[in-house]
Amino acid sequence: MSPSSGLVPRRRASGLVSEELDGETLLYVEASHKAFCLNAPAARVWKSIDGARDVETIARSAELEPALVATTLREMYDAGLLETPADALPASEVNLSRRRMIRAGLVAIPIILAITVPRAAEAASCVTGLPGTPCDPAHRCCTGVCNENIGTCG
Amino acid sequence: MTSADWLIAGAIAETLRRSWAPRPPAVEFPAGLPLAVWSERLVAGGAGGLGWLRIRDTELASRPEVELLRTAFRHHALTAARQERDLVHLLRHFNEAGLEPILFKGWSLARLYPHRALRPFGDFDLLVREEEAGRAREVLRRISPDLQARADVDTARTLARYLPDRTEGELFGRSRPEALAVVRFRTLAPEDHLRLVVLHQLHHGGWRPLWLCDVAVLLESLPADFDWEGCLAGDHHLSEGVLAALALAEELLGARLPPAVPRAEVPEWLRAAVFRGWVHGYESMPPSLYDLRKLGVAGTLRALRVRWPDPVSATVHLRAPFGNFPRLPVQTAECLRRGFDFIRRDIRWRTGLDAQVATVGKGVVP
Repeated sequence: MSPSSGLVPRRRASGLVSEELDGETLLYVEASHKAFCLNAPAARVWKSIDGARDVETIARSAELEPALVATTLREMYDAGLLETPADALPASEVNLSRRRMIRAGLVAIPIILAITVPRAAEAASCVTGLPGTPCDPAHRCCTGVCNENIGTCG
Repeated sequence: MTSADWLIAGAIAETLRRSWAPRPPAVEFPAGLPLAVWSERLVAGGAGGLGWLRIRDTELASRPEVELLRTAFRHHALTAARQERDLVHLLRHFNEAGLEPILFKGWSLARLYPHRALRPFGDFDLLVREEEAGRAREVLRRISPDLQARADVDTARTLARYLPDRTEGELFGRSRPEALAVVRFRTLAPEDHLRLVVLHQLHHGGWRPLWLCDVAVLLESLPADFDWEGCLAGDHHLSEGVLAALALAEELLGARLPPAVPRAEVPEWLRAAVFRGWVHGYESMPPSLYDLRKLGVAGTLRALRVRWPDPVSATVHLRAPFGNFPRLPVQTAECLRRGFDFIRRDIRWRTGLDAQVATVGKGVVP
């Protein structure tokens, strides 16, 4: 399928949290609990997806080649950011090593980065698994003692 | 603590020194600092966002070893946006049930920082009256499991693990009404909140550097009419701990203590214990001691080692003085206490003598 086929991509209608930070757009997909960071070109593509523009119009609006936009849309779909069915999306027509392009100074490429940090960054103290609260193999106890016969933390 | 541990702990303190202030001082790192370990410990201690803020305009920011800090900053910004949205949703459910809970720690602290990516929090800490616990459980049953898992609801009885000398009437009587969008809630009086935030971290051994930052940020956000006598009233031993932690926040992080605060000395063991926690972290879910056959000898020894009490929580739990004398006897006594407590509880559980003592929220909703 050509990027100019008139396909109108749609963002995921719900379950998305977005935040602007230092010129980047951050997105959190609640269904998968995955977070992504869009650099400025990818963010321009993202902002141009309004449920009315087709790929060519998005490319013009984001000031990018339609082929790059097609690749970006495919990656957005893979990240769970779009509702548009995968088979409706234009095939990726860009086959360049992004790392190589960035190294060469071509930084105007849309990039979608997955964000992962250790859970410990948020989990603070032992607030679950206190003595008396339920436990099983999936819900362990702070004390390390699960009274398995009655299913509560010791 | 090895010399490398001291180096990392010192660098964490240097990084976080006045990191919440509009113009923090320039950071000077010691030569030979293992950057990857330093940034990993900052992130594990919840201070990755603060760490990134300190270095993002320096040449250090382009080093691959510190990429984790930038990632943490982004992640915290995003999760904070999500938490703020969901907090309104959660509180609306409570309001609809006729409840106006007190919101403490987490969000109440995060809003005092200059940017919401600087103070991550995973849970909504809520306090309801004992008589409201049933309705609070009903609310938790009705909301999505995802939100339910983030709502940590206490009563004054369960919060007594940190604030044993404050009654429900006192906490609610002094609390302040607040609103967010269309929802209503309350916040603890600053005197109670500061005491709670300090005692919470002492109770958990002070292993997170972010907790000491919280104390510093709270100290510098206190209202002009803050009642120090009220904050330090109650259990004298706990108040001694509060003063020691305030002094530690001043010494390590440059927190500005108001002149009205009675000055305390920071015991050497407290500084060392907190540094040790910052570097080595805390294993909140040690391997169960129930099935020793599964653990094997090495596993059992490790499970016992991670249960060795840290000096800070041992001092709090055993009500030992916060003075500058060795902690080994206190830790040994605390270890014995925990051992006996474990055996006693186990016998009572097995014989069905013990009633379940549970918090209102998180995982106890049938």
